[in-house]
Amino acid sequence: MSNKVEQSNRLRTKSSQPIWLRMKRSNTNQKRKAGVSTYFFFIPAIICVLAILVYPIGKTLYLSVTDSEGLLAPNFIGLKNYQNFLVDPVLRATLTNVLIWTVATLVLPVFIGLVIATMVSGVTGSAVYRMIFLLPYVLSGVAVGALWFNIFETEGLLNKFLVSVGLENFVNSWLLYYPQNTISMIIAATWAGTGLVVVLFTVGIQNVPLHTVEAATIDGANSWVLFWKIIWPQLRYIRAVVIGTALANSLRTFDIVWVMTGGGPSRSSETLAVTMYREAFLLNRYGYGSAIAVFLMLLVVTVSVVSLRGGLKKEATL
Amino acid sequence: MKKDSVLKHSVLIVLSLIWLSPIYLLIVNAFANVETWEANFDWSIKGWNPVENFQKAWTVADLAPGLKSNFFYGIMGAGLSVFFASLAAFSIVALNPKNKSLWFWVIYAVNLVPYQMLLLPLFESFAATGLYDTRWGLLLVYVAIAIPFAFFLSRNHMLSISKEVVEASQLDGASKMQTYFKIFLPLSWSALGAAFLFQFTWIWNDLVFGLTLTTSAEIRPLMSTISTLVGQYQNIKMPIVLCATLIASLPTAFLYIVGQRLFVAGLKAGS
Repeated sequence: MSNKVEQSNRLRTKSSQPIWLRMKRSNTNQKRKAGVSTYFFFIPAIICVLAILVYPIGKTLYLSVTDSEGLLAPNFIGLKNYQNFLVDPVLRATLTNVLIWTVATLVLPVFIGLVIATMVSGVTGSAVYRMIFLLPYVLSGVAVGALWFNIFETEGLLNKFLVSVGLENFVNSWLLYYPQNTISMIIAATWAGTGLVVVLFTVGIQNVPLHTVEAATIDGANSWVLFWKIIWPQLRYIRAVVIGTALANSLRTFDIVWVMTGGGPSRSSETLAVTMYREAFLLNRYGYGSAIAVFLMLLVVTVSVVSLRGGLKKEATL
Repeated sequence: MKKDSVLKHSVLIVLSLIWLSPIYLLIVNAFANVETWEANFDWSIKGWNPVENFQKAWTVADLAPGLKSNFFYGIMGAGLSVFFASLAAFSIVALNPKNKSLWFWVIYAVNLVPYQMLLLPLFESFAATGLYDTRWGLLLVYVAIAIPFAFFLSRNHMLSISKEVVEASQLDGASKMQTYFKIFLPLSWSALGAAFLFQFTWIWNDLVFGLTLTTSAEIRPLMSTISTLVGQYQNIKMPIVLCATLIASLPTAFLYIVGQRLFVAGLKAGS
């Protein structure tokens, strides 16, 4: 099957070669050089990745089966940390938060980013619009956290605004109760993260061959049809990047929660990464924290493999 | 067609205003009068001292060494990671190596690990190998963490490059290196440019690896410097902190304004 495809590709190649390639051939007419190995191209990336991953992952796996608390020599305690983690009464709430973060990240920044990228492309002033949505991404996490904390605080800017326009009924302690604390932080994260999605989809849209768009326009396609029939299918590669990255990042949500609520009050807004950090670095329970890290890592790996695998397989025959 | 774009512009303007209002709050409060500043942010303009606050932020926070280091980390880190990532992506897409999936997941692995988990072990291994508090040590971490996204993005962008172009060039006797430099690199310019901008920004704004793996002022990156100074002097008020982060964000904002044109225009010329 794949041989046939390859053959037909070869056949097509001969007839559809660009002029510059044909010219070059007549000049040099050389055989294919042996050159460097296919695997040579992986070496720099692999070295960097392994250099910072091997020891930390090994160490975390080791600590996760010990009772390490930093000072005394750790004792081997088998899977006890994992057992304790699974019976943690707050675990369900934490996992629910992770799920909310993940779904919301797929729905909000990804969807809004796609809408904005599509609308912006080809419009006058597109560079200005894109820059506006990118501004939050440029800011440091320190500034973004301080800003949104002050917006959602009980005495904060959002409540002041609601009072001034006569919507006292909607005044709320945004960060003090579940689930509005998680929702408030998701809004902040959406504000900060949409710009990245806009640029990624812009790159994808720019890459759609112009003649396919023109042909459809000549055929009388309106912009709705144009988007779904021409642009959307050709965004499949960039879509995988956006969704894959959004999934991995939302499962590991840490910074914004740590800055805005610290996971509180009474752990109601914790995510797995926050639980892990609090256990390991505030309570010095390295063994227990490492077990959570291993669990989180397995979760991210599973979700990423499942979500990307279909795409990878299809491309394998390319 | 015209009706279309009026509608588009109205939606975009509404969304832009929503996106800009927190920026307004940030700027109003960053430039507020420090003397009369009370603990909280405000909607109204309470004093307008941009120059004074910027000067104070610059001198109090001592931003110059951090800025210098950041340019090194940002340019080298983003540049190397995008280059290494695009080499690997090229091999996976064009050279048909065995065990494609395995290579993919090994290089992508950093993106699957919670970064907080890396902190202590990296500190240990850096202390043991003499990489602690060195530029090259921190750079290695930045490059490694920036590789997976750059790899994923460039790989998927390269998948859209026609297979026929690759085969034609190979039939013509182009070496692998030539195929990479003459065909894939130019055709991936937009994706690689975007990857560079994102990774530059990520490295530029990094706080926690800088805090964990460095200690001296010349080595420490900018955000880590700002955050420690805030901790040391309780009397530094919020507007000054915000001004310091605004100064820190100017180079990245500038890069986006220039870079966006480059990678959008570059693509149009290329396709």
